[in-house]
Parts: sequence; C-alpha cells; structure tokens
Amino acid sequence: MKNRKHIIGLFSAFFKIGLFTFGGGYAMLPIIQREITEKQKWATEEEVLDCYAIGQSTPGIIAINTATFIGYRTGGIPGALAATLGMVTPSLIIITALSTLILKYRDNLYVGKALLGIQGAVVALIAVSIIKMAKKAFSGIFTYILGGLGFILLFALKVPAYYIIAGALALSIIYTLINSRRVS
Amino acid sequence: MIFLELFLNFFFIGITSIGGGLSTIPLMTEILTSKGWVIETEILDMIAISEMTPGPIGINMATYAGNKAAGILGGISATAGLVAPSVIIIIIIAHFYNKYRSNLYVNGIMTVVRPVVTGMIAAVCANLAVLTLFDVESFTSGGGLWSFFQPIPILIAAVVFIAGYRFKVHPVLLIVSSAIAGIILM
Repeated sequence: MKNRKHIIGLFSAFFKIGLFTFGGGYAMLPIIQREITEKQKWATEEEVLDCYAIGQSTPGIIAINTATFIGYRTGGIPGALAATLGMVTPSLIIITALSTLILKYRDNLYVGKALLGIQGAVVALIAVSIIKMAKKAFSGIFTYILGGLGFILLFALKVPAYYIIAGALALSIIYTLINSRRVS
Repeated sequence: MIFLELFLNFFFIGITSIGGGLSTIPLMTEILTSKGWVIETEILDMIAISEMTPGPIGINMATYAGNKAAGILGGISATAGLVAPSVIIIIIIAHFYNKYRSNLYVNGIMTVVRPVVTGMIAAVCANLAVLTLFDVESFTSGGGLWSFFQPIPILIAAVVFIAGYRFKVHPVLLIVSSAIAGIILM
C-alpha cells in the first residue's frame, strides 16, 4: 500500500512541476529541487543535480528525462511511468484545449492580427535562445566549424535534418573513441 | 494509420533531440511540413503557444502538432512518441548507471552534436525570419525595394529581441504584448 501511495505521490508531484513551469528544461530545476528534495525528500540535492546533468545530456526531452530518472530511482518502472505521465498531463490538457480554440478562431480578424504580431516576436525569441545555447555549445574553433556546418547544410544546401543529425552522432562516436584512446 | 505514423515520427524526433526543447525544431519542422500536417508559418504559432503555456516546450509542440494532424488522439500519439525514447533510454541508464562510461560518450555528444544542432536551429530561425519579416513575393513581382520589408513585424521582432536579450523580459510577457501590438498595428 505504501508503494501505491508513493506512485500517486510521484504522479502528483510531477503534475505540479509540469503545470507551474514555463519554458521547460532549464526553467524547471528550481521547482524540481523544491518539490523533490525539500518537500518529499525523495532525493538529495546532489542526486537531483546529477540526474539533471544526465537528463540534459542524453537524447530526449530534458524535463522528461529528469522525471523518468527520479521516478525510476524512487519507484522502479511504475514510478518512472507515473512521474513521466504526471509531467506530460498538464501539457496535454492545456494544449489540446488551446489548439482547438485557435483552429476554430483562426479566421477571426483579431486573432489573425494577434498571431501575425506574435510571429515576429517568436523569431526574435528563438534568436535569443540560440545566443544562450551558443554560449554553452561553442568553445574553440572545432565547435564553431561544426555550428557553421550545421547552419550551411540546412539553410543553404537544404540537406535533410535527419542526415545532418545522424552524421553528427556518428562523428561524436568517432570523437569519443579517439579521445578515450588518447586518455588511456 | 495516422496515429502510428505520428507516434513513429515523434519517436524519431525524441531520439534526436539533444540539449533542450528547441533542439527538436529543425527535425520537427521538416517532418511536419513535408507530411503536410502543419504549414511553415504555423510553426511559429506552435512555438508561441508552447512558450506561453506551462510544461516542457517539446511536449507542448508535439501535442499541438498531433492535434492539428489528427485531433485529440493525434496529440496523445505524438506526445507518447516523443516521450518514449526518453523513458526507455533513461530507465536503461538508471539501471546500469556507470558514471565514467556514460560520461565519456555524453561528453562526445555534447562537444560534437550540440554545436551542430545550434547551427541547425539558427538555420530554421533564418528561414522563419525570411517568411515573416520579408515579403519575397511582392518584391519579385516588381513591388520595389521597400515592399521587400514588412515594417511592423520587423519592428516587433527588434523590440522583442532587445527586451528579451538585453533586459531579460519574460517570454510570456513579450508574446502577450506582441499579440496586442499586432491587433493595434497590423
């Protein structure tokens, strides 16, 4: 019975985290820390940071990775599923409601104008995010070349994104193999 | 079967998204537009709604796109697809947690893939900027140089960029104010 209570607790804790964070991933850390380490004591501060690092650097959505990791560590596979489900449920409800509304009122004059205003803003917001990401991603000439390559391949040469990402992943494995040989 | 198609496509997007919600954008844009689920300018609406509402951006975008393609069940299929690789990979990692080995490959991925994806997001951003801030059509049909620029979207974009980058104004506030600016100015 204690176990079932914990599973429900995981679901509701991550439901709250999903409901109260805007912007995903990075914006989520303070709330995760408060809910998971301070209130529930499911993990220590250090463990949360650890799994956050893992969540950031493995493929997939950072927020989901973190939820799955904490859920699994404290409640096994049912815990992982409960935490993840809790995390996505608010998005599913809110976005489903909103997108239905928008599709319905898209042809309304004012909604159309508002969306046009928003479009310019979003381009600028993406640009701001790119600068923030670039500060973390770029260090040294090698990474600048890689970034330039990603840009040119997609923008100018219109290479499908699939191939570019697959190529980058292959390159990262080669890079790791060379690097680990040099270390040992 | 569209639900399976949505699930599989978003599964693939999930595997290849590394380092934050926006990293799903290049591949998502490509898949959504080539399947005809969403048109290119709608990507911007999708991002705006995803940033304005609570929850991870990637999840919000998947739900929106799935909804647009095939209704409520479509939204659930796309989201399940996006989440599934994370759940599988993280359970495996959490089970065989080996700090040293995973760190080595993680380092490789971070050093190599992250800059490439950042460049790719910049490419998508440039494409979207061309679509929204400039009017290529009336320029090529002989409207003169000034018809090439869309002054109001350019103004909004410039103000939002400065407010967001320099003064760290919250994105939600910026999106709401540009919606109001759009209603008044356009």
